[in-house]
Amino acid sequence: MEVSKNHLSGWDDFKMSVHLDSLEKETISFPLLRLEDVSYLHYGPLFLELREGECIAIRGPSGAGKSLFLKVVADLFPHEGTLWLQGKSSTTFTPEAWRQQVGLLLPVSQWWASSIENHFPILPSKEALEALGLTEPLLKKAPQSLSTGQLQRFALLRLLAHEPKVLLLDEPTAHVDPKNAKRMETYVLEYQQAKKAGIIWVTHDEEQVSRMATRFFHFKKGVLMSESH
Amino acid sequence: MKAIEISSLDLSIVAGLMLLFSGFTFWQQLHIERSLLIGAARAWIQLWIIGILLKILFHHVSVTWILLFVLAMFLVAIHEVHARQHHQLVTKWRYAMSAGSLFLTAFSLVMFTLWALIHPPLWYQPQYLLPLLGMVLANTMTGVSLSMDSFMGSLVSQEAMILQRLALGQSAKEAVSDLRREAVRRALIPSINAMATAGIVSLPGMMTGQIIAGSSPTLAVKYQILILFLITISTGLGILLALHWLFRYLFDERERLRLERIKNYK
Repeated sequence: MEVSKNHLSGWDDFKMSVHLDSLEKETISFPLLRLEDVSYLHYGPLFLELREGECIAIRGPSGAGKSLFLKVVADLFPHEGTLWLQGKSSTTFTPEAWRQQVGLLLPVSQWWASSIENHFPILPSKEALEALGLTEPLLKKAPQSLSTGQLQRFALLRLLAHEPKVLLLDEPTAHVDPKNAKRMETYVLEYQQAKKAGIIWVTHDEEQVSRMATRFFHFKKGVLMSESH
Repeated sequence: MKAIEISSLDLSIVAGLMLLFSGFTFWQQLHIERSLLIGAARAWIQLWIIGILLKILFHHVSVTWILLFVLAMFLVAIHEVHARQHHQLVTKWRYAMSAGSLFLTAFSLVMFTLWALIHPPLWYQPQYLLPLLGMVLANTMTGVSLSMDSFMGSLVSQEAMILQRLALGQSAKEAVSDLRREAVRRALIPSINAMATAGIVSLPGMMTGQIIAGSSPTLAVKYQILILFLITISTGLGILLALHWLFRYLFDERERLRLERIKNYK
């Protein structure tokens, strides 16, 4: 009986390894993130592919639906169509797993616990804090005692603590002073290179767009249009 | 000892005092004299009608009429749960939510108490079923209503916070855990206060009634403890059930907050 069990599990392992092999090969050719025929409210159908290590910028006037678009990609807003991450549909992920892999940074961060450090699954390193002009004692402080700019930099660290593969940045430096905005840009670029992460960056800052992104889009009549910079 | 009779003249004197008090509030420009008079008139009329109905039910004990009476109590309670809520769900299922949470708690707890503890000659003996159910149902109704309103209000006012927590990969349950706790606390506090102050600040209504009617204070105390516990358990369970269904309705299968399912939420 035991022999036959072993035999079965061996065969299953073999099948699994063949399956995984072919899956890995396929994964290489998949884009990091793909939006297929996605529509919501009066937007869409939208198609978009984001490759590993790529940063794309989305521009458009206020109220064009850029923030809502990021919420759709984070699966926080109901939509039609399919979101793919490395060839796997969002529905094969739990909502929690999807949102940790496809991390959204909101323009104004929200804090619920009594101190900053209680919001982190793993506390950020001293180097990471310094890179963003923050210090360790600030971690012990209550969120309401920090400035909006400091909170936003902590929010970036909090987001990256989950090591997302895709970053959805919704005007991340809108409430941050220029010096610290540059620090955030540099930090994001380093993360992008180290993790080969893909980024969708929504901003009104033209200079920032040209520094960070390699492809550019804007919303026109509810459809995402590619544009040359 | 039999209770001392109250004559119609006695009642009219108290009603006169109520009129005087309403006049006083009018003179003080408190703008509540209308509500006071309507409330007083409603109480007078409703209680007379219920008195007559109960007299008939007590003399001609019929399971059909008693159950119809119970049904009417439930229908009014279900309506009242939603009557004064600031936020309403768009779906008619809201009535099923409150009906389910009232029926599964108040009705089943009272039935259990009658069947397993009090043992009246008939399970539907109106002298026991109706007052017990009335007290438990009224308190559960208030608790369910308060908790639903408080929870929906928090979801609307804390939308950005919930979105943030979901965006960081928290489950919907985790993202609203504080709000749920607060809604339960707020709605259960009156019941907890009633237990904590019973007998010290005031003699509770049921006990007072029994003592005036001639029961021994010891028996009145036993009934009072029973009813206080029943009320708290029923209210607590009713709140948890209502919030569970509300949560299931306001978050979809992908754990997205669906505030558009609340009427005029913006």
